[in-house]
Amino acid sequence: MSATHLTETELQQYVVEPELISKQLMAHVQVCTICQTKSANYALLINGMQEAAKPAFNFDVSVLVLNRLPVPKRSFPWATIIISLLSVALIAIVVVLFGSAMVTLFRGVSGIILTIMMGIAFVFVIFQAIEIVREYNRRMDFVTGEKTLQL
Amino acid sequence: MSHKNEINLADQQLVKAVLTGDRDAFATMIKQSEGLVAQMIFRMINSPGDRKDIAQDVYLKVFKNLPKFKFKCKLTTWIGQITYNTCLHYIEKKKLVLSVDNGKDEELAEDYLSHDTLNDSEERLLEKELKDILNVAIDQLVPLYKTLISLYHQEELSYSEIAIVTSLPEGTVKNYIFRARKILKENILQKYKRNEL
Repeated sequence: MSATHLTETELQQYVVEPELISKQLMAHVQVCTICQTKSANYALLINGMQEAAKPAFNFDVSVLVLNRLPVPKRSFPWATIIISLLSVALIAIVVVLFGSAMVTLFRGVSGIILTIMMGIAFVFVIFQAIEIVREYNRRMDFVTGEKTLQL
Repeated sequence: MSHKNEINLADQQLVKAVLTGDRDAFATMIKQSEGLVAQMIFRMINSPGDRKDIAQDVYLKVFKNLPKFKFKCKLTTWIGQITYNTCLHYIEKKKLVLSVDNGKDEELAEDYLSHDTLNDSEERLLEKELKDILNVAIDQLVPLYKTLISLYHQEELSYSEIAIVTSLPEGTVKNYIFRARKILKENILQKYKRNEL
């Protein structure tokens, strides 16, 4: 058993992190009333802090902040336009170069299969379009703040 | 899946939702971190009017910088870091004092703050009196000490999380918290003894 009293740091450690205290110091506290009193005071202090009421804002932070979120500047969508033009140009080139070959290819396919293929492609395009519109509306709600806040 | 991974996943989903424009997700993010932000702002900033502005400022910065969040720590810890830096900036701008005063380290003769011999009502009265004294004593600490011990004991952040929030070395955080507790205890003992006289 250690004969010297625990330092302030050791006393705090004894209360907060007892697993870090050596067995000798632990044994000292068991028999030393001075260290017991000091550690009991720290325990009281720490319990008091843990039980103390936490500070809180007297206003609704989320409402306040959501109303002040910056609205992104809408710049002219150059990138979208360039990509769209390039896509159209690419399709046009493919049609010009391989148009006759494609006509020959599809001539050999039966009417039913061609209808199914066209139908699948059409449904796919419709779903893509719906998704794009939904995403656009969601973003517009976000930047204009029109959507009702539900917490 | 470990608890840490679950938290990280929840944070990732929340951040992703906010980045895709979900306002409700950002409101959730505010609700989740509001306690920590309030704790830090109340401990570091004395002016009630400024607290409101700083709280708004913190969340606007969070929103603006969210795409840069790399998930190296918990989302609330990152928001705590922004709060700390925002408060620090305010303190510097107003030329207030944040840092610690090494001060005198005088030892006090120590009595037990609680009395086993008291009856229940006396014990409750003493407890209430102690809580009042404790609140006053915490308020009298320098802002940094107040913040550190509140983060540790009230928000239950670990030393490493506090180190991230404050950008202080973990050892320094630990050292400051130890010192803050010691000062707090000595101040309370002094006050307690004065009241007893």
